[in-house]
Amino acid sequence: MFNGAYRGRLLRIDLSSRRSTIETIPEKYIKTLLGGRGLAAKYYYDEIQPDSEPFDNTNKLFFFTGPLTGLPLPSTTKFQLATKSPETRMYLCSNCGGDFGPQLKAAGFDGMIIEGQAKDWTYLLIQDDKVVFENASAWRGYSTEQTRQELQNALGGHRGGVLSIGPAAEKLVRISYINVDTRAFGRGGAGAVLGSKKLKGIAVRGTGEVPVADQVKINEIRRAAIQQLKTSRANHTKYGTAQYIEVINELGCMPTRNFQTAFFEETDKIDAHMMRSQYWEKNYACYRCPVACGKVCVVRNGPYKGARARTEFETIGLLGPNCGIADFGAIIKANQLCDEIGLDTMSTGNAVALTMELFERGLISRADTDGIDARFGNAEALLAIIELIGNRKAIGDLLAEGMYQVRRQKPEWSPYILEVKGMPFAAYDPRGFHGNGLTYGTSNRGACHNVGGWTIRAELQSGQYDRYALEGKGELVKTIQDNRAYVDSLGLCTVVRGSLGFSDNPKGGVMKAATGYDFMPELMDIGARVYTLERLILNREGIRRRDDLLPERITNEAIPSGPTKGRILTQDMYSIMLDEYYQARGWSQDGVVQDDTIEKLG
Amino acid sequence: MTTIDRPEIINVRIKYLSAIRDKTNRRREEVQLPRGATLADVDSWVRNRHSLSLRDRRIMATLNGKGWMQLPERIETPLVDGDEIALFPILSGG
Repeated sequence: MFNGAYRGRLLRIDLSSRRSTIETIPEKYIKTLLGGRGLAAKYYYDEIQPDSEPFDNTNKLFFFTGPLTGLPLPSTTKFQLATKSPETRMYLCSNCGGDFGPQLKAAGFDGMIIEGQAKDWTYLLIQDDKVVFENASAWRGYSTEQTRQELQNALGGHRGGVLSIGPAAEKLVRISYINVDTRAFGRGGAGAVLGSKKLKGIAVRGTGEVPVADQVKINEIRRAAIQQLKTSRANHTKYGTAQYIEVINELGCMPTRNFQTAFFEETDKIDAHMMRSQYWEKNYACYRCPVACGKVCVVRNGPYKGARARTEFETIGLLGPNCGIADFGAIIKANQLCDEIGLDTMSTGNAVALTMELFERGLISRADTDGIDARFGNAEALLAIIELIGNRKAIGDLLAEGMYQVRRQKPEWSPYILEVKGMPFAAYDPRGFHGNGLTYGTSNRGACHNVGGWTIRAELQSGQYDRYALEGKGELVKTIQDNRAYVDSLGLCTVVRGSLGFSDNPKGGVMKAATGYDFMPELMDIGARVYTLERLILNREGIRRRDDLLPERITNEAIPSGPTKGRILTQDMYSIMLDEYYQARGWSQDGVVQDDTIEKLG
Repeated sequence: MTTIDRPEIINVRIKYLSAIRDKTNRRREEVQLPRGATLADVDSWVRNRHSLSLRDRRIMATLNGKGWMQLPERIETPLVDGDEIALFPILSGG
């Protein structure tokens, strides 16, 4: 059926027995679930029991490329991960760029499953079919970057893909990330799953060519797409995602001082123009990406001189305004610190902001913060609290357990905790875009703007949905989620998807040219199938309607200042959208996937 | 009988956000328009002055925080004194 793009094999690595095996991926899995996120969810569904704990040796990491990963097309960089999340204690999907996915594909694999637990700290060296287990005890305590460099060295000077964790993951901090060639599997704490398995990193190098069904057509499509991206993504090339800082603030959706309000008074100090004129050093591009949205920023003066990081919108918003910080240099420094220790910047920004609000309200004191004056706007406090989390010291030990545990251990703090299903909010306040509230509530990994469906453009520009309307948002969010689910299954970066026709009405010849099979008419159905499969997993793990609800701050407190002053998304308002969404999905009013929906989707 | 003085001019503010500012070299402008002006008049104004257009699909434009495409009268929406229009590049997720 397929004569290109897929390798048809997966590599299974058992750390307990130090053995690896190669398996064939059934063609029917590929036909129905495409690859990437779809296949990762399928293997998770088959192999992870609902009562499996994230740090048990029964938990596994499922890495899957998509059919487009590694192909000679723009930004075919992405691969997917599924695992039981230490942060949310449920299914986690995550996608990442860098070189690792393309290298895994070149090595001859569509996927890789890591299972078991190593006795001693270990790293893996994969070169085509050969897998070597090496001792990594000497690397304990190394930062993500130090580990990455060691792994690159282990490849003997050959270019490869590298995946690494930092000291936070070694300490099982539940908001720690996996570094991938300086990109990240950021959310959900997957780094700590590697930490629990004593796996410090993996280097992979492939020497094979990934075949395509029609090379001439692929070349033609690539040239046209690159040409289009030069103009359609010119702002990403110049400013990256930092371009949204000023806009989201002006729209009254910027998380400010732990979402106490949605407008930050000093964004001119941290916006894209400030970044570009004062801190930008160079662009960073993932595999085959002509856009290069990554912005390497460096601090040239002041107390944080020498700090360097790739700051992006979410990181700026959550480590910046959400912590009351208007110093771009401090944000870069905090970003770098998170990167080195191995902490997800988004969950960390939420954790620091919570600490600052609790401190200002007198609900915690210096005794809890290791003596830190943890007030909003105090950049030194921001950095110090990050260290506390990474080192599991003082209040950092509780924050390192993630918001799921914080809420259970300290229910009296609930009014100040911004999360859904244990996943802290992204950098948009849903009181300003009500569809975004449904996004957070129904995202299959907790409050995520990507998996959950990014509605803001549709709520401003489509001509169909007022940003504060409730009707129609259920169908809107479902459509965007399904679109994203199939894109995540392709192995392609979402930034370039428009150039290849991957909208909610997919068009063009790229899939036929790549695989030999015209997936295009089926892609939205595949997206719906993937999303529903993930919800089946969540249902099996106990997730119901009660878990899809929004936190108190959003439903009980109106925004007190700025362009969206007075806006609120009450529980009653939210329920109207949620009911409509469940109906659009074919789920029960308790959020359970129904048998006839499963039958319909196949 | 008292006559209420109704000025013939309204003042609106146009904000140029993010990369749009590269084309305008300014963050905002205060613009005077005749009473009865609509968003179409703002469109003409920014077209003449900055070669920008509210109708350009690569640009998003809001009136007091709402996308003009969402407004019942769309580009013909009448303006009142103190209205705020913002122009910014299309957004696609952060």
